Amino acid sequence: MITKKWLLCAAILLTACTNDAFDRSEANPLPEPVARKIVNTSADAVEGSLLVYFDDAAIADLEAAQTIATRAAVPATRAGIATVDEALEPLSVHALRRLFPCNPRTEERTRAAGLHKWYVVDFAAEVDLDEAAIRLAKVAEVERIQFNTRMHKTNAGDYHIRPLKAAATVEPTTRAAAAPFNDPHLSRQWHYINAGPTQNCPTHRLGADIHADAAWPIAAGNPKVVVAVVDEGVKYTHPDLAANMWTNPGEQQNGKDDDGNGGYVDDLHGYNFVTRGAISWDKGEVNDKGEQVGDSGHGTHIAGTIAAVNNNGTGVCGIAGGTGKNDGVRIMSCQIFSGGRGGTTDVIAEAIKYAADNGASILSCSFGLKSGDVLSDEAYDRSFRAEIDAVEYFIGTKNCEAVDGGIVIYAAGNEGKTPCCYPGAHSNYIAVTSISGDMLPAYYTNYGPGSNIAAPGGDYSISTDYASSLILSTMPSELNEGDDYAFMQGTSMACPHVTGVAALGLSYALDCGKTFTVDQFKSMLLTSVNDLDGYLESGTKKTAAGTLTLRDYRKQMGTGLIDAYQLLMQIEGTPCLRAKVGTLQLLPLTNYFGKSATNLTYTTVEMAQEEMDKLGITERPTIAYGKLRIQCTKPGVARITVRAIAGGDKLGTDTTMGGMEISKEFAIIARSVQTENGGWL
Amino acid sequence: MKRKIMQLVAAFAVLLLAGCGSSGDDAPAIRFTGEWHLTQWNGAAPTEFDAYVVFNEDRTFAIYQQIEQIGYQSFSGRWAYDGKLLTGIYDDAIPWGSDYEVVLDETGDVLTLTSQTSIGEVSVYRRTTVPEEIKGSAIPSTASRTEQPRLL
Repeated sequence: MITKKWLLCAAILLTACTNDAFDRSEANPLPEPVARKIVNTSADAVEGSLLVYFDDAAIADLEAAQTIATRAAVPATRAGIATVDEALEPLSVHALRRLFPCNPRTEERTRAAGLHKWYVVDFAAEVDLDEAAIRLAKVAEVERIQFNTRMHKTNAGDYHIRPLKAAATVEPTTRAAAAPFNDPHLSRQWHYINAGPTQNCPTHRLGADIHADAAWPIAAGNPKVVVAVVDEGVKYTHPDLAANMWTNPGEQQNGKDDDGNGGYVDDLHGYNFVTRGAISWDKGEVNDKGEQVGDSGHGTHIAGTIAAVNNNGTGVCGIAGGTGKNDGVRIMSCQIFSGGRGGTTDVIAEAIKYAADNGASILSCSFGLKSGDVLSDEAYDRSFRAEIDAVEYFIGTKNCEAVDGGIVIYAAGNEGKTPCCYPGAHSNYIAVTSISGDMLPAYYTNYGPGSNIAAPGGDYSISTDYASSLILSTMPSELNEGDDYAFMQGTSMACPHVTGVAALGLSYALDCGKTFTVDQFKSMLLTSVNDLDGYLESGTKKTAAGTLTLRDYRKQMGTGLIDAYQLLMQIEGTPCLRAKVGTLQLLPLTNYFGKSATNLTYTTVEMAQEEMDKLGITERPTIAYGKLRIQCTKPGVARITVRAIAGGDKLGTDTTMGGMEISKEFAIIARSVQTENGGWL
Repeated sequence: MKRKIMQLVAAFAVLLLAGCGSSGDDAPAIRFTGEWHLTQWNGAAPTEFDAYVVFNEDRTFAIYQQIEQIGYQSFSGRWAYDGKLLTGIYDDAIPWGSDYEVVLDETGDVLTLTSQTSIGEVSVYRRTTVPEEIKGSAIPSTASRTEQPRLL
């Protein structure tokens, strides 16, 4: 009883003292060291479930208990450690299991990352969660307790899902003729190749797209690149997706874990981590308020944007969907939402690790917390430890020859608020905001600190013609009036545009034999952009959510609008920057920081003294008016590094939300020979 | 305007020189016609950029360079040599950025061009055939690789 009152006080204090809904660090009445061990609060947590991180001393006994249970073909319910078992005793434990199951092929790496020490305790739902956490936190062998909280598909219920057949117009919104593919509905995918103003949408702008027409003749995909769609299940039998689904080479459809990759039975194209079984996509559910809370086709739609099969005479195009010769990137379905369930920490963390262990090099994550739930990396790192550990493991895993780790991309969130929502807002992850075909922010997009880059996500309020306003992609026909294609909108749709472009970039890097670090690749991705801020100087946009004041979004949407062609050019190579000997100059950085270069905030210019000497530079180069200010006094070549902020004008720190640091190293060639046309002689 | 006139004068001068050369008065003792690859620039190998130069017998030239852009870019025009300095003009009537002093080594395979700018640039070329893939893929200096104009 006393404990209950104590917890009530804690809840009141938490509400009063902190904006971080999951952070209990600022007002925690529990005694040390117990309080320190409980990393978050039980707000929006699953009943009857806790995540426990044990210390090294406990692992041998825990694993012995697991082995005994496995031999007996029953779930383990005890730890084999007296103090732990005493704490578990009143919880009516159903199972005590490793959060990240043992995969012999990756176990060494798993242990090196400490992931083998995470366990899930499943127990009776009627047990008070806070009391259970406190009991376990008092045990010496327990290092951390994390409540199993939920994340959400970015604002489910507001996607404006419309079947393709509902599109009123036959007027093309795409210069599809400019593309090399024969997919009939590419003409409605303005987000790839925007045709500019049309009768149905006079506000469309030429170039409000990802510039796919210029990119596709150079690269269209590579099956060695695997993208994990961490979302609802992907309909892997879809006629426009099936050929580009990742297939687990060691697995068969026979009710067994053939490849022994952690007990995942029949994981041919991925896995349903919610039901621990077959991937599903058609489990519609309605809650007691009559709202649709089940499968929406979200994951299938996202997968289509990344890699719907191109040039197959069917349906739509995907950004990295290949050329119709079985050469698209591959989609791995890591299902974390299933029929209205899922989105919990245990499911998300396990799915992300599975993606790393089974070959994915990009994560597409259109889910998150609400804007403002978490307000700093430090708070997120502390409260979402299991997710952090899994994502760090993913980032540290090399699955593609072109990059030395994993790329993680999240949606910014759909509440029309600032700041961007976590996890995307984390300074190690890429967060994607959304624009519509008018080159302006979508009414729902989150923006501000934590946002890194923008992409087309649609906005139904700019036109009654869905083919002009929304994003067209693949959809499970079971949920869509029998139609295989549908329109949707959201940062959930913007996110896979950046994912698809990143996948295209890795594909091309493989083709060229180029290799990059994760940071180099992220810097290239975030600087492959067209300027948005020029459209946000003044004026308003009338939307479904009222009138947007465009200036509010200036420097708040990320570095600019993603451009696939620019990324491929950066992958081909970084050209020199030409300077003239004897003149103080302002040199544009467009080749290195994209077409938003003059609007970016630069943090440092680094040039070693030895490099400065090569060009006879006496005054250290700086940035002025978004350009490189430099004076060379003798001909030569030298290297320089320029750092900038991707998203906003201040860097994110542990305690303050902000942009991600990006850096570019390139060569300056200073010449006394100068020609107007740039010729060598 | 003044600049334009100067360019026309330069173009005219080059044409005159080219005319002299073709009349059989082969002033240069140095036979630098052929295909050359830049191997050294101001004392260092050009690792960050690349250039090939072709001097044809008919006093035309071609340059294949990769400096400020991704992929090779090609330029062409006419050259002239008066026995002392090498001069040239591009097809778009823009003169070279400098005249060059020419030295060919004994083997005839190493060509050194020194610019007549306030601070001379010394470029060393080795006789090499320009790879066909570079010739084939080079974008003429007047063209852009992006075919679709971006109105951004």
